[in-house]
Amino acid sequence: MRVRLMFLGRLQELAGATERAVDAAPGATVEALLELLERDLAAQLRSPKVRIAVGGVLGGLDRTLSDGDEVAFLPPVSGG
Amino acid sequence: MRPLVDQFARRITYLRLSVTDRCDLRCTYCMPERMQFVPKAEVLSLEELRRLALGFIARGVRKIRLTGGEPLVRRDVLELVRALGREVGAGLDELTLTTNGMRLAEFAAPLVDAGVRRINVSLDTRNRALFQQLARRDGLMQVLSGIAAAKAVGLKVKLNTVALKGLNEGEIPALIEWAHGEGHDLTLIEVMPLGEIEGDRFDHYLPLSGVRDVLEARWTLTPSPHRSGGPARYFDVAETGGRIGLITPLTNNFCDGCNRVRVTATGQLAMCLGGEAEVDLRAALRSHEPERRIDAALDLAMRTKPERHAFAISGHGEAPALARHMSATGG
Repeated sequence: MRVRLMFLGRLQELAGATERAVDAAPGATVEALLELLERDLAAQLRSPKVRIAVGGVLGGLDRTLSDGDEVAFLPPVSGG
Repeated sequence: MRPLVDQFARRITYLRLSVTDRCDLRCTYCMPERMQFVPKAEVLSLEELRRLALGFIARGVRKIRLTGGEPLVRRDVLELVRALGREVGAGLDELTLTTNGMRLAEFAAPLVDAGVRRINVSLDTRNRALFQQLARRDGLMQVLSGIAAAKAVGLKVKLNTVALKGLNEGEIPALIEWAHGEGHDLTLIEVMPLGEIEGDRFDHYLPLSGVRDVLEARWTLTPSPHRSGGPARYFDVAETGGRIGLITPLTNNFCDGCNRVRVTATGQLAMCLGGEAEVDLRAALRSHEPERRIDAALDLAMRTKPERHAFAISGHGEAPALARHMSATGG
């Protein structure tokens, strides 16, 4: 299945892109998806401060994905 | 509970609460580049804002919109959002805010956590160079990312676009088309004569009556029964499946159904965006008996809320109808 990753705010600089399409095994979780990314990027996205939303709903790394899902990564609030 | 009803029998149920006069953009129609912001000590504290908002809720306010300046530049704004978010479903029907979108990518998720469901985002153009010219900052990519973040977490977004002759005028149909394609409604706003700025607002004053003609030549606009209790009149666009709003303070009057008051960042209660009269809620808050003084101030406000605003831009170089900047009152 194919899902679309969206990097928002300053995570765009981290990912070097605003979005990316990845192929994953059917029923993969967000966590499994991160395994497919560069190690540094995956480590940063795994931070509990980074928020994850799929299809307009906030969720966690254990969220199961379906073909065509959009997975958004949102940066934490930066200090003042 | 003694509801807030003014001398023209209008029930006040909507509070627009400015939490800061500061902003991270410098839109030319809003403020000068070197804007003089008020000293922090004059701005209401988090606790004062919370107390004041609860005072309004106790008097029957059902909807609160946080404004600025830019509300998301205030360091402790999330604490206020969380505190007021706890009132949603109890005293409040809705807690919302208006933002320029610059910090929305970071704030979208915490806003949802706190109970915010809808937000307004100001966006005048999707052209990067024009954005930089209008806002005096190269912020378009950041704002678009913020809007995308809001959509990603399920926040309902309404875009507010100031219509500017010779600037974004030609882009308005494309902007609406894009917004509706993204699932966002869009409201067009005429330039309002608030506060001294550099340049001349008359140069860019674009009456929306003309814009409406342009849009009607392109699309089928059906007047919508949708009302927000405010000045906007809404139209459904058959071809895009979305809704547009028109706010025409200068070419139309909308005062009869006014349901709102505004509190500036310094705690001055403005009964009308287009009127000078203010009641000092900060003095009430900082007095020895804040609850009683706030109630008395609200009663006074209800007796002095004017029937109509006093807006006009009738010629070049005319002084603004009001000296107070929009960034002080909050839209």
